[in-house]
Amino acid sequence: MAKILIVEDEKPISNLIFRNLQLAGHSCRQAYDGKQALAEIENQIPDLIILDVMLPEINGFALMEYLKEIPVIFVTARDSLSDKIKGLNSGAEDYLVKPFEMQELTARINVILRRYGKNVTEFTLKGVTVDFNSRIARKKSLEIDLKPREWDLLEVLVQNKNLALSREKLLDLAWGYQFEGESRTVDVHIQKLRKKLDWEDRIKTVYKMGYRLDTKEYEV
Amino acid sequence: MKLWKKLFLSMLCLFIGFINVTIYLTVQTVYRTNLNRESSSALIEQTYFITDLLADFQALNGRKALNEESVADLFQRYSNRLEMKMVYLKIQYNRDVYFNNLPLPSGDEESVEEGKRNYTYRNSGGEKYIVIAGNLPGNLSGYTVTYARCIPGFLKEWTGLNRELLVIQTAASCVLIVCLFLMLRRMVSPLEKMSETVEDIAAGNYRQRLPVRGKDEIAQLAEEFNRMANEIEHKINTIEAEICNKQTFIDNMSHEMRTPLASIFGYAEMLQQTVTSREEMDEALEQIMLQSRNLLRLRENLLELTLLRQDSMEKEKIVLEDLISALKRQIMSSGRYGKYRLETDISEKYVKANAILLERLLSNLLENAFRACNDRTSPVVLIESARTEEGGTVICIKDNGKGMTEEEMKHITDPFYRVDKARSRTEGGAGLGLAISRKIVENQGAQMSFDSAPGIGTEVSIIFP
Repeated sequence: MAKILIVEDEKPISNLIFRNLQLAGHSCRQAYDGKQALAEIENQIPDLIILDVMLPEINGFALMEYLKEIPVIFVTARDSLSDKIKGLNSGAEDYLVKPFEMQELTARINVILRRYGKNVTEFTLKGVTVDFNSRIARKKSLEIDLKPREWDLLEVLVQNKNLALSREKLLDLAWGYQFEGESRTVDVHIQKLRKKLDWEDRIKTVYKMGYRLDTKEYEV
Repeated sequence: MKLWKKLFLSMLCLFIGFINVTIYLTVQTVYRTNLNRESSSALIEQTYFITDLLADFQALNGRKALNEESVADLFQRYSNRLEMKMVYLKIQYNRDVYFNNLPLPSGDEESVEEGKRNYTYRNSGGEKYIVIAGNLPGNLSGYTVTYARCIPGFLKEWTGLNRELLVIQTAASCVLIVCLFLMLRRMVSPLEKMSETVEDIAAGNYRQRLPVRGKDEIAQLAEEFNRMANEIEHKINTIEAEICNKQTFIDNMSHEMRTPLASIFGYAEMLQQTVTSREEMDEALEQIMLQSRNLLRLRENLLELTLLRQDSMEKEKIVLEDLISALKRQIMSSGRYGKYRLETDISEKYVKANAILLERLLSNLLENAFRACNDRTSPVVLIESARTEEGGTVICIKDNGKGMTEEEMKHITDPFYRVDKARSRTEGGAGLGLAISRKIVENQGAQMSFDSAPGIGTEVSIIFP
């Protein structure tokens, strides 16, 4: 979906973010210090940058000077209020404190991409195309009728593709906690989606976890 | 300010009252004295007069000519003579007044005992008179003779004097008021100033001090006060520094814990939520184990740091050679520092310390030394020991690594302090090693010092008593 640059000096964390964003459909590059980051940007301008504050060579805040037009999400272990304020004041779009859940990062990335008009509102899988802006789903040229509740759920599945989400999480992300349904409602709607979109083999049930939309073929 | 007002008013009242009373009494005394003097001379004169009078009466009596006419006539002659001296006479026989030129309103003088005389003072026509009355003795006791002598100018003098004194008193009082006012204000103003300064300090401006002028009690108070303010400022600074340190400690610790936790959490989440290949799973699990171990080590280090605050551990005589050889083996076998050279120069064989702590200490320092040499082509670390003048042992660890600046040396033993501001994991640990080392050194009653130059190397010396 988007070109993302991950600037984080801790390799394990960088790899984690890389993997998750790749799964979500973005194409990512990694840089391990400020200098490398600048080099990568010069090479190809990313749509969004995930930036750690504590970097060797040039630290995150200082780097912001060079990143005026590109949206930046700060990701860092420093959570003092002054750091957060400094981060947001320096022009970052958002500020996430480690440890964070991947869903949070992906959700915020989506928000920012939407704000910059860079998010992709279409998604195609197994011949089915869904457009989230117009809320039209098509297979070949036949329109598929989906109810609003189903659209909400579908959007969450697509945004978090390849990630397993629990029923509670799906409930919350799709319909908010105001919705006083049981998590059974999720099951019902998932069934509907599977049937209507013919994604029986794509919307997977994850044992003890919940559901996952798989976009790749896996060998387990 | 109420104190000076109180002082002022009370002193004023006291002084003025005092002065006035004194002046009044003085004046009265002088008045009396003067009057007495005049009276005495008048009384004496009167005595002579009576003597003369008696002689004359005797003569008249001898001629059987003692009657109202002759007496009046006699007195007239006296009067003429005495008028110059401002003496006036009156004589009466029982109730009949034979002669009276007293310039006084008539009044009955009381009859006087035989042989005695009364005298009083009368004022008339702006003058003071002393009026002496007495009965003639013997068979002439029916006669009452009144002798009035004027004390000229007395009254005028005295009224004049009184008026003058009043003026003086008033003038003096005014001057007193003004001077007292100014003087008290001046003396009390340091107190006012002190009060202002104290307020200032209480509001947070701990740098303020009082001016110390002179040597009196107020100056002393100011000096003592300044000393106290110094103490307070010092304490406040210490406390603030402490708080700052504590805050930094907590921030750093928090950070150190977050990073491994973020890894563990992230990889576990990945395993739980996504489909992973065999390799990805292995890598995830390895990271989880690694970071968990890191956290455990961090916890151990922190515990050590806090526990070391307590009583010193027992010491023994340690053979340095053995300890260092053991350490050397340990480090070299870990594989990481295979290409490093660790040289030893043990001229002092023994050191009195706790074996476990000493091993920890040297291990820490050696680890640091090796890390500093990471980017050197031929890293050399040297341990040497020597005897000190006081009979103790000094152990030095030298390396030719990247060294540090003055500024870095100041903070190097602070908990969590990392020279690498990015706190990169590859190059260093959590930053607790030297803090622990310092605690160990303190615990053993030893002293540790650093000497370093960037790019050249570092030398750590520990002196054991």
